[in-house]
Amino acid sequence: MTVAGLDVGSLTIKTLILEDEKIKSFTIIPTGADVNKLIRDCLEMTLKKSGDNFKNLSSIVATGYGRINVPFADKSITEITCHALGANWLNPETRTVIDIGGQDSKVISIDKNGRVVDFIMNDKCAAGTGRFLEVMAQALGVKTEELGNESLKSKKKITISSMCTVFAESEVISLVAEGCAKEDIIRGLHKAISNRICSMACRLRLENIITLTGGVAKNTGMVQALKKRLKAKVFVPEEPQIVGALGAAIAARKIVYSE
Amino acid sequence: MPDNFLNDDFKSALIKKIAKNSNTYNIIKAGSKLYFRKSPESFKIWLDFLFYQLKEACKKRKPVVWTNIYTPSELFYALDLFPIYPEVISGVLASIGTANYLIETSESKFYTTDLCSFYRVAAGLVLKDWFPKPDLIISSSQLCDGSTKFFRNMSKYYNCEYYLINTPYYDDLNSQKYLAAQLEEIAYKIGKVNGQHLSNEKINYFFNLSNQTREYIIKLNEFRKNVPSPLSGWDAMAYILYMFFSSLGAKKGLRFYHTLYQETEEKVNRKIGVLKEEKHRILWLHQVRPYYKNEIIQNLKENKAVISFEEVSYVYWQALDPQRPWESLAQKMTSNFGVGPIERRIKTVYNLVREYKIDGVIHFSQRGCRQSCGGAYIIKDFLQEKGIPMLILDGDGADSRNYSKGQTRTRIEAFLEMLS
Repeated sequence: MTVAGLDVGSLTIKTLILEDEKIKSFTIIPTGADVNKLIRDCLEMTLKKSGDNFKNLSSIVATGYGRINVPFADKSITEITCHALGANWLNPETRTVIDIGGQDSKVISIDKNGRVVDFIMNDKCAAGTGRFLEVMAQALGVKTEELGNESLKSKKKITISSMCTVFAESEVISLVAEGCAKEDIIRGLHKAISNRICSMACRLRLENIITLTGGVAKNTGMVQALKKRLKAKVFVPEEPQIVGALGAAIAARKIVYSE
Repeated sequence: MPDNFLNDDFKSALIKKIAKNSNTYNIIKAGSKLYFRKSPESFKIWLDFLFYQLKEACKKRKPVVWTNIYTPSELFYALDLFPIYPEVISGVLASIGTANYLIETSESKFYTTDLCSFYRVAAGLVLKDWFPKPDLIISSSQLCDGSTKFFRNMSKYYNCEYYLINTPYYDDLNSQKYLAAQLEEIAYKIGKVNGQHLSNEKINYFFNLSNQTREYIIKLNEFRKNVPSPLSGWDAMAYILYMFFSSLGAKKGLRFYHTLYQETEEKVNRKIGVLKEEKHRILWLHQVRPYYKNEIIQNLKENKAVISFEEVSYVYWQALDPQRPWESLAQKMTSNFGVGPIERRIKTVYNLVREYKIDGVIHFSQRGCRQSCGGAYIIKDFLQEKGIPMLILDGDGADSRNYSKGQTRTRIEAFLEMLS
C-alpha cells in the first residue's frame, strides 16, 4: 500500500511517500505565492523519485498551515497530530515532541501509541520560530543553514534580551556595530530561543524521550542549546523537517485500514 | 494629512447625527423586524430590547446610567434609571464590523493597546461622540479593574457623578454587610437627586421580575443538559448574554427568557440539536467570545463539536429577597464564583463538566481579562487530573487585529483531534 503525506508549512512544503513500513521518498521545497501549483509540483517530484504515480496512491493526507488548500487530499489533519504520529513512528519511546517550525513552535505530550495527550503553542508573534532565525541570519549576513555551525565556534557568552523579532533584529545590529563576533551573537540567539521554548515546554509534563522536529532541529547550535536547557534525553531524527509529512502519511495509511 | 481626511470627518459627523437621534432606532427596529422576520421570537425580543435601550438613551426620559455587567441591573430598574452597558454595546459593534475603527480612534488618543478592547471600543465611541452621554456612572469592581478606571475617566470627561461599588474578595458575612451598605448609600444618594423614593412596593415588583426571570434561566440551563444540545453556546454568549446581564428586573427580560425557554423546550421535545451529529460537547470558559467576524464556530461545527454550555450562563445566585434588599443584592454579587479563591471557580467548572456531559473544555483567554487568564492553568491542571482535556485559547473579544485565522484553526482542530 502506497500513501502520501503532505505538509504545507509557512516556509516550506514537504511531501513524502510511504510504502508499508518504508519511507520511499520525500521532497522539501520552499513555499511561494502559487501554493497550489507548488504543492502539486512537490508531490510530483516525490512520486518521480519513488517511481510511483498519483493514481497508485491509496490515500493522501495534508497537514500544516496550508492543509486546507489541498483539494486532492482525502483528509486534512493538524500538524500537531501529525508530528505526534511521525515522532512515535521514528522513535516509539517519544513522549514529548518539540516542533520548531517556520511560523510557530509547539510542544506536544504524547502517549506510547503516538496519541496527543496535551499540547501548547507559541503565541501569535514570531519569537522562537524559524522565521525569527531567518530574520536574524539576514541581519548577520549569514545563511540560515550555516547558523548552527557558526554558533559552535563561539567562545564568548552574549545575552540577547529581546524576543520580539523587530527588537531582536535591532539588538543584533547594535551588537554587530559594537564589534561582537557573529558566532557569539548567534549562540546568544539560540540560547534566547531555547529559553523561550523551554519555558513554554515546562507548562506541560515533560517526559523523556523528547523528539525535536521541524526545520530548526537541523540547526546543530539550536539543538545543543535546547539539550543544555532541557536536561533531558533528546532525539533528533535524521531529517526532522519531514516528521509532519511522515505523520500525515501514517494517518493516510490509517484511513485505508479503517475503510 | 490623509487624502480622505475631510471625507472621514464628514462621515463621522453624519454618523454622530444619526446615532444620537432616537428616531434612528425606530427605523432600524422596523427594518430589522422585516430582515429577521424568520428568526426565533426570542431573538426578535432581544432586538426590540436593544433598540428600545438605545432609543431611550437618546431621548433621556429617565436618567441614563452607564454601568458594567456585574453590577446588579435590578438596582437601576428599581431606582428608575436607564442602564447602558458600554462593554456590551462594544460587543455588538464588533459583531457588525465597526469596532476596529473605534479602537484606532481610542488608541490615537493615548488609550493603550493593553486596555481591554471592549473598553477601547467604548472609548472610541465617546471620543467620536457617537453615543448619548451618561447622567451618572455606577460600576462595580467585580472581576474587572480596567472598567473602573475607564469609568472614572469617563466621569471626568462628562463631568458626571461616579459611584464605584467595591466588591470584596471573600464571600462572607462581613463582605456582604460592607457591600450592602455601599448599595444602600448609593440608592439613597441617587434617590435624593432624582426624587425616586425606593418603596417596598417597587422593590417587591422589580425583585419579583428578576426572580421570575432567574427561574426561567435555571429551567433553560436544565434543558441544555440534554443530548443533543438544543442551544448553541455561541448564541448564548451573544444576544442571550446581553439579556443575561442587562435585563434582570425588566419586563422585557422576563418575556425574553420565557420565550427562549419555550423555544428550547420545543427543541428538546422534538430532539432537535444544534448539530445533526454531535460528537464533542464543549464547555466554554470565561465571560466572552470573539464578536468580530471569525471562523471559530465553523471550525467547531466542521468537527462536529458544539458548545453545550458556557460558565457565564450559570446561575450562581439565590433568589432575591425583597425583605432584605441590600443584603440580598450584596449576596448576589459576592456569590459570583469568579470572585475570590480559584477553588470556587474550579468547583463550579467541574460540576458543569459533569452535569453537561462535557468532553472537553475551551478557556478563551481574552487579552483584556487578566482576572480569568491568571487562573487558567490551575483549572487546566485540575481538569486534566480528572481526565478532562482543556484548551487555553488566547485571543481577543473585540479587537480582530489580535485574531489569526490559521493559528486559531490549528489549535481548535488539534484539540478536537485529541478528543477523538
